[in-house]
Amino acid sequence: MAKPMVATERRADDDRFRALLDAAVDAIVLIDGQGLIARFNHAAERLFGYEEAELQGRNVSVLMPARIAAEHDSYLERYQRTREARIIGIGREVTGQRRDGTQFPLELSVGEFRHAHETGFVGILRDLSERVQQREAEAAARREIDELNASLAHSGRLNLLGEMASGIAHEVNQPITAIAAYAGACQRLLQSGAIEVAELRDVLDKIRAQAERAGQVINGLRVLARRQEPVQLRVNVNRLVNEIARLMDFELRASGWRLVFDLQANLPAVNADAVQIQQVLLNLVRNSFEAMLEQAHGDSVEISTAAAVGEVWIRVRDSGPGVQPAFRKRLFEPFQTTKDNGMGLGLSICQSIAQAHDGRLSYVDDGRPGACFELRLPVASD
Amino acid sequence: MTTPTVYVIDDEEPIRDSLALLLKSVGIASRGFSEAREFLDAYHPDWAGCLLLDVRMPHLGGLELQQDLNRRGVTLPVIFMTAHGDVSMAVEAMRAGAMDFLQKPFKDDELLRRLQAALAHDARERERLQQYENLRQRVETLTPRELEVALRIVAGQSNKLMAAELDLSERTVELHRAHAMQKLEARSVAQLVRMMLDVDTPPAT
Repeated sequence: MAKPMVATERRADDDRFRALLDAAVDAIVLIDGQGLIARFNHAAERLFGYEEAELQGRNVSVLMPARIAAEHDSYLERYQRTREARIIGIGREVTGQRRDGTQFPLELSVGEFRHAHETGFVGILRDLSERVQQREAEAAARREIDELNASLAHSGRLNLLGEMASGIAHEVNQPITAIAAYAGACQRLLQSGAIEVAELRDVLDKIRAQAERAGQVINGLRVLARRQEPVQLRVNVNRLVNEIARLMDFELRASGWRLVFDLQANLPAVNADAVQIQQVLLNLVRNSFEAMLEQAHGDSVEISTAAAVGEVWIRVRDSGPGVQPAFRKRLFEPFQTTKDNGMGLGLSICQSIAQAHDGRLSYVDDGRPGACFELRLPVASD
Repeated sequence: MTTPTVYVIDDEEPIRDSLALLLKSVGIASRGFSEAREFLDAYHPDWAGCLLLDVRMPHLGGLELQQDLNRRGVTLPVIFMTAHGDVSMAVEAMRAGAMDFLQKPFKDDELLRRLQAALAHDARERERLQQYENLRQRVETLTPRELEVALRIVAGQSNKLMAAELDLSERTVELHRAHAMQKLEARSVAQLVRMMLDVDTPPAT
């Protein structure tokens, strides 16, 4: 009597066990010590496309891509010998192979069981395809955003260039005109012997200064036009500010706007991509003028620099009515704008440039009139 | 009248300075102004020479200055300097009465050639103006009778007809005519006619 009783109980246990396995959302695969499949639950059937019956007694490596399958037996053998767990009790991301040969990522956790002389392993597998796809989609989206930012920044530069093209032609023409006139004058004066060496030297100095001026305009243009990976070098913030002034010189003179400076001498250097920082400053200065134009209020922008503890700051302050308090906290969010024709990206790109420099861009309300933006950059370590 | 001078109006110091030296090298006097307004404030009708103007200047631009000069009857010839791409401005400048325009950067020879042409033009105009002024002053010295006789000569009347219409003797008409020719420094009747016609048409400004 006892024996059939045991057999019945065993069968009942077995049924309960099966029900348990099949109720699991995750795929569960039981193998023996040699790696042969003992149990294969419903979820596993759905995941791999096999029936339990056709897999029972087959090596579990059938569920793996060939390159892993070939190694699997030796993994098991090594574990039996050394008890050194590579996956058991740890869980990891592996690649599975369906019946149709397609491969997919899955998370595998393995447990070991012993019963009398029998050793076996239980593997719980969770399909990661969706999660991986999602992760890839996120990465792609991030890449796309980065690319978009880069191209926006670039087209911003190009746009800037378009606006500045005639200004730049003018800027280059002026020194060249002066050089040609100085040189022509010297030739004539030398021919008639009507020039002293000292005067000639003086004129040559002026010619050189004008040639340098033309060169600087060209350099500024080249730097601005180049779309480059951020190159962070030790730079002097005051030099960047002065270059901005030169880039905007014609626009300023043509418009009658004024740019005033309050630069602290001997600023510590910062590590920065000069072009990007100039782009931020240009953007801030242009914003200021545009704001003042729209509000018909104010005509000057002040750029000031100073050193703080471990930081250098640059402030761009206009003489307009300032930014409405309600709008201030959204200033740096993308697609927020008060301009009629604005995309609302300028300040958000500026902010991301600041952040890429471990710095920050903020709106400063210090009680003085006008809108004031402050860019803080960490001082370069030696 | 003052020395013919090139008045350079450009907001850039290096341009004014280099052009001054270039002009000095060929013995042309020059004077620089950083703004059109500055030139207008200093301007005196005695000034001779020409203007060399940057078409693009802040505040009062070259074109506006040209219009202002026209309104004030300033006759100095104007040469515009333009940057590349300012063709439309140059066209407008010529329409507003500019004598010439040069695109920066220009060859010094070219600039000097055009400036010399402008200076010569101004000198000729001034000479013509001067002659007209002299003639006008001479015409003003004529008595009403002498003027009447001179005008009738221009109209082709004979002494006899004039004597009858003016109720004078032929001898008196001849006397007025001789005085008129003397005062106008006309050596022939033809010259007198020419002078009377000239004084009737003041030189265009």
